[in-house]
Amino acid sequence: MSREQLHEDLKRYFGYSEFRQGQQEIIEDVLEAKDVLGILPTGSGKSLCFQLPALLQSGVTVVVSPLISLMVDQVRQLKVKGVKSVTALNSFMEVKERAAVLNSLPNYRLIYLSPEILQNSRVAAKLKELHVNLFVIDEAHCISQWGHEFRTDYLKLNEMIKELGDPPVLALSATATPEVQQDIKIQLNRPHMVPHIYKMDKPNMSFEVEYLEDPGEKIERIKTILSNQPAPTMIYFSSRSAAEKVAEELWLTMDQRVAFYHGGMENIDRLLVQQQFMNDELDVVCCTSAFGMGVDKPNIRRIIHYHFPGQIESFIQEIGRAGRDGKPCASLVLHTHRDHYLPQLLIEKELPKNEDAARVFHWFDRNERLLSDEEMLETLQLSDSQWNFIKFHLGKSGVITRNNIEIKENWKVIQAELLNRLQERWNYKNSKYKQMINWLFYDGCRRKMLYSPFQSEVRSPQAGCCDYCGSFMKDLHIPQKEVSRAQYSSWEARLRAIFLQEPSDG
Amino acid sequence: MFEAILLKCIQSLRGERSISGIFHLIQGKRSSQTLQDAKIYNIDLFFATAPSIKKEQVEEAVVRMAAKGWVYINEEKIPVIREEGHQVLNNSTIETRHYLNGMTLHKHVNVFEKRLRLLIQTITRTNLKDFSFIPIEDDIETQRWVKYIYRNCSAEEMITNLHNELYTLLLAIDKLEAELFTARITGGRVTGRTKAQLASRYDLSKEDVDLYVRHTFYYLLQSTLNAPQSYKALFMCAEGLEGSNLITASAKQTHHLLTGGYTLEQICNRRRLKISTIQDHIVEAALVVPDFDISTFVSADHQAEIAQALNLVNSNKLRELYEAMEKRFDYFQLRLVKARLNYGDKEVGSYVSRTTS
Repeated sequence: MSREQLHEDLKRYFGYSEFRQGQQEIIEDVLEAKDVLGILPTGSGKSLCFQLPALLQSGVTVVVSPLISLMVDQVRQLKVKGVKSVTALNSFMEVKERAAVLNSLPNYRLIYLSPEILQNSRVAAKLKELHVNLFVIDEAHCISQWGHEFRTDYLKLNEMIKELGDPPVLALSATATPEVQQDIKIQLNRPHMVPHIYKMDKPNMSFEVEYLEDPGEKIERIKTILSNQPAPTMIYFSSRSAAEKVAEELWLTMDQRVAFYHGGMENIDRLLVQQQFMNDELDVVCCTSAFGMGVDKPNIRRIIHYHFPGQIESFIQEIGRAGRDGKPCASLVLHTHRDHYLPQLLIEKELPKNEDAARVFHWFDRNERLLSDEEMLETLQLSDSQWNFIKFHLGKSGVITRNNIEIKENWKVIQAELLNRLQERWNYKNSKYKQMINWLFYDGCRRKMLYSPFQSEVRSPQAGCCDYCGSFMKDLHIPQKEVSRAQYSSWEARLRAIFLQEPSDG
Repeated sequence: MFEAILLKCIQSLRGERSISGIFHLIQGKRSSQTLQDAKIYNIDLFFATAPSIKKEQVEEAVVRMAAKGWVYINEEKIPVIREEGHQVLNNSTIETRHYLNGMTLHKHVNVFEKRLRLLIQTITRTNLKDFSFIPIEDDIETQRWVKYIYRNCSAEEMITNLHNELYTLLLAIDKLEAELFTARITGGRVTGRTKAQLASRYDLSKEDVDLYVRHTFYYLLQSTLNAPQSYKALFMCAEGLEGSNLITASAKQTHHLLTGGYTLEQICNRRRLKISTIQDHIVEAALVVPDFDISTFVSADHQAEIAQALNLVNSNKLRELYEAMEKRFDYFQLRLVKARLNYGDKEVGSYVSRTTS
């Protein structure tokens, strides 16, 4: 296909006149049926790399994505663009709805799936009847034990690809270190994937970290910064209640439009906050990591971390939402001694402890078959990820196949092995966490240090660099823009505005 | 409004039902127990009026009201209304004038609300030449409906009509409700506010924001249904929403088999359900189907006998009735008669007076 033709298709289907960095190169290789590994920074339009080929090729494109909200969001946005032959299958769908989609599977060009639902035999059988032309693995770092979000179901993708007749594979990620990239190729058994690796540093962003003695100072610091000038700002929290509390405090004391956003809100309210923010009807969003997926807002100027995440990868993803328009933006992390335990607690929730494993073995002694996952969680008092971890490793060592408990002897050896794996994972998670902490306390150029695990050098900054190099969030230049701050004097006026009953732009 | 509804429920339940019972009722749990309670205690208007409520929210509210002296918690952990509570209730719109009618309308209001929200967003955004807005409602049915209307009606006309109709109707209600309602709607260049934003702005609880807005939708729907000619654009959103008798689809199926001459056992076998479930369905039918005949399960004489005993016991607790009748009838029979009596009470005059006179 000629380059001109590709540009025309881009314009026709998506309305863009230019490809963003990397997109064209990846799409060309995909269309030539090569296996491709694409590492593109957050917000660079990764999904276009398979969406456009899906529309241009015959057959079906299957996309495995680990986050349901992400899938639903992409399907929604494609439909808005007029692409209707797209659907998402996940285990949270109602039975009726899922059956309807399954029965009309041949009508779709692009099918999003969660890795869990791929394990469903009915779904797999239906897929095998189709002609799958491209197999896409989004967030491909989940495949690697050394990726920050290892998902056991990702390891089974390998077999699925074979069963679907070995279609070309496109693996995409925004945060994969060179070792993870290598691991992806090994796990997928595709050593000759064509790599398209792009730099992830953001030359238009400056970095600042501030250690505070007293947690109460955080709010004061945020107020000072915000009062400089209103500009689209995101503040990240690790807990829902903290996000709500700070939003309320800012709303009460500042003349700015503030809202909070987290996964515990009703769907419609989440959508409203997103849209208010997109339409510049909000200045500040206090949010958890649930916010951001699918929020492609070009002019976010500040990202403040009220709590920092447990690893550099998440941090890079979160700051990646700012400055997509290429104009200057800034990151600020506020931390106190208290915050240093928080990520540790989250890791604890994620991984089983020794006594959890002991409880599982004790239960195995008295049972022949596993219950459903939900019942297992309930009976053994484990979290989702804790049970997944145990189930995966016992499956690998042959203790359980499907739902049967096969082996009842040699417990000691198996148990010791599991505990070893557990220890490894602990050590790994902790080293990730230490990496984050080290960055917070680093005494040198933060920009260079932040990206050093991913790339050997960084491009020179376009605006400020970092606090070490003398740049601070308060110095961020925010382009003066007439922000519409429409206030309605009465409900009657608001009703007229909703129904466009005013002379235009009233 | 939230507290007033709780007070009303607590008062009507007369200390005979726990907080869970109240929670299930306002949340709209479709179990036979909840449906019967709603009818028997005469609080069916509040059924499913707070569908997204959590049990803790109800519990916390009851504790708050106890602290204010409106209710107390008795030794069985059941809330009971106090004199102060009566007064608060008497001064609230829940006793004077409101439009909630959950048992009959909650599903219709739900559909009506979704259609109206999405229709307003669609006709005003497209009027601004924006054809790629993110729909405020995800529901496929609603989207289909709006698409159909959009293709077949003039958007210009609808915009003006909907504005005028809403304006007229909102003018007639409390200013606070009109403000909350308009703030919640998305359309034109205006994005709706979240519950939390409105709660902060108006210093209300989130529960109250939710209830006031839902109440307005009830008001709009009923006003529209009462005068379709005056509110043509709104009436479109109420299209196809006629009353349906049986609440759960499963109960409907059981009722269908029953009228087809199947016995209880046969229905159990056919539907592979437990007998208690089938019995629940039958009680449900007895509550809402006008000409439902229960004499296959309890003879007319026995019905009269049970009705009489019920009058004497003067409690809605089944166990007491069961004991009073010396365990001669099973719970299913007692529930059936009660359900029927209740239907009679509400719709066709008292069954009791007919049989005892």
